[in-house]
Parts: sequence; C-alpha cells; structure tokens
Amino acid sequence: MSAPGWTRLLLRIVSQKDRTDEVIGDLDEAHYRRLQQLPAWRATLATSLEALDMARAILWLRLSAPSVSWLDFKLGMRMLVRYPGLTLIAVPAIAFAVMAAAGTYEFVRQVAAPSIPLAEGDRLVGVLNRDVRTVDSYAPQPERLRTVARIDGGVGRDRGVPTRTAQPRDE
Amino acid sequence: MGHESLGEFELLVMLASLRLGPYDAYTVSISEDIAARTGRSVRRANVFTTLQRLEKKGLVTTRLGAPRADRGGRPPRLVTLSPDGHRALRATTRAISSMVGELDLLGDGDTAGETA
Repeated sequence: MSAPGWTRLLLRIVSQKDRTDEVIGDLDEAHYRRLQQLPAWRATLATSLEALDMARAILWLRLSAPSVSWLDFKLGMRMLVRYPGLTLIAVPAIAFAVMAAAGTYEFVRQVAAPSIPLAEGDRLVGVLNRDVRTVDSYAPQPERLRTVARIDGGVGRDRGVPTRTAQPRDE
Repeated sequence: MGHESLGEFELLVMLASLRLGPYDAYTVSISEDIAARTGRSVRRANVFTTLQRLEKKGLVTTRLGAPRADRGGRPPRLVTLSPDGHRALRATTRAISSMVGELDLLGDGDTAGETA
C-alpha cells in the first residue's frame, strides 16, 4: 500500500526532478513497513509527519545551497578583510581608473560630438534627405514650375519610394 | 582532497553504508541500521540530507538500484563509499581511537572525566 496521496504530491513538488522517484519510494517503503507493525491510522499519521519533515529538509537543502557567485563574493570580501593593505591600494586604484575612463570618454564626446546648446540637445538628430529637389532642379522644364505640387513638393518619400502623392491644385 | 573531517552523524551514516554494502545501503536501510545499533530515533530526512552533503563532498557515490514492489515500483538510491570516503572514515576513526586510547569508556568504572 502506498503512502497517502497528498504526501506523495508534496514530495513531488518540492524535490529535485532526479530525486523524486527515490524520495517517494523511500516514503512508500517506510509506510509499507509501518503498516505491518501499526494500525493503519497510526501508520498514516506517522508517514504524513515524516513527509512534512522530509519536505522541510529538502526545501532547506535547496534554499541553502549557495551559488558559485555568492561563494565568490564571500571569498572576495574575506580576502579584502584579510589583506587590508591590498584593499587600501586596490579600491582607490579601481575608483581612480573608473573615474579617469569616464572623464576621458566625456571629454572626447564633448570635443568630437558636442551637443546642441539646448535642453536635452543631445537627443536632437539631423535627418539628411538625399532626395531634395530645389527649384533649380526644374530649371530646364519651366513649364512644370506652376505649382508646388508639380515640383514634387507634396510628394512623400520613404527611402526614395513615393508613398504619398499630392494632387495638383487647380490654378 | 585533504583530510575531510566527519561530523558524528556523518560518521554514523558512512559506517552504516559500509556495513550494509553497496547493494543494500540507501536512505531507509541506513536509518534503520543506525536506529537498531545506537538505539536512537533517526529521522529519515536527516539521513537524506546527510547523504546529499556527503555526495557533494565526494565521500560517497550513488546510483539507482532495481525498482521494488514495496517501494511502489520505484528504485532506491544505493550508496557506496568513494576512495576519499574510505580515507576520511579511516582518519576520523583513527583520531577517535587515539583519543579514547586506554580510557575505559565502555566499562562500569569511573573515568578521568567523570571523576574530575
């Protein structure tokens, strides 16, 4: 006879996937042995308590397993405390290096690409229209210079492809 | 690996694993063996977590055994001591033996610690 269903479900939820079978198997076996020695209700009670204890232990084991990065962090802190001379040199050196790098970057950025002297001027961008036509472009065809629409002033273009054509207005 | 020191319960679990052998040592049998020999009540959850800790330390290796009907068709995870585990066990028992030395702890007579 198997352990109570909820205990098996509980252990299935909390245990690691590769350990589920053995954990539930252990519980089933323990319950089976108890049933041979105890009344059913006492065996069920004892198995239920054991399942709760096992679930607590598994959860504790999983939650307290330190990650490698945490161990590295602890080792780093321990080394800094153990060698204060190194700490006194290394920490200001790293701070100075970060400050120097940031300062150099900002200086070069201001010199090479100064922003427009407006609020949030660095967010302004220039748009280069490679399809600009001027009135001079139509000089050879003066008959087309009658309206703005006729010199393509009302033609929308997206990357060179006409997307919107203005209708010529009546003269 | 250097000398791995074993805690008391770790020592009991490893001795039970050694005693039961590679085909019979798993959580349930180890718990019952310790309970039967020491007379203390053993929580299976403690044995389970201790085995996981020993496995992580490389002192035991585990493998799945054959499925069994009394386990609902599920296999037990069998435990075997690794060479490092044997070394740690020897070192710990040797340390205990050397500390006990000629003290008569199992006899009825008074010991130095009790009379002091």
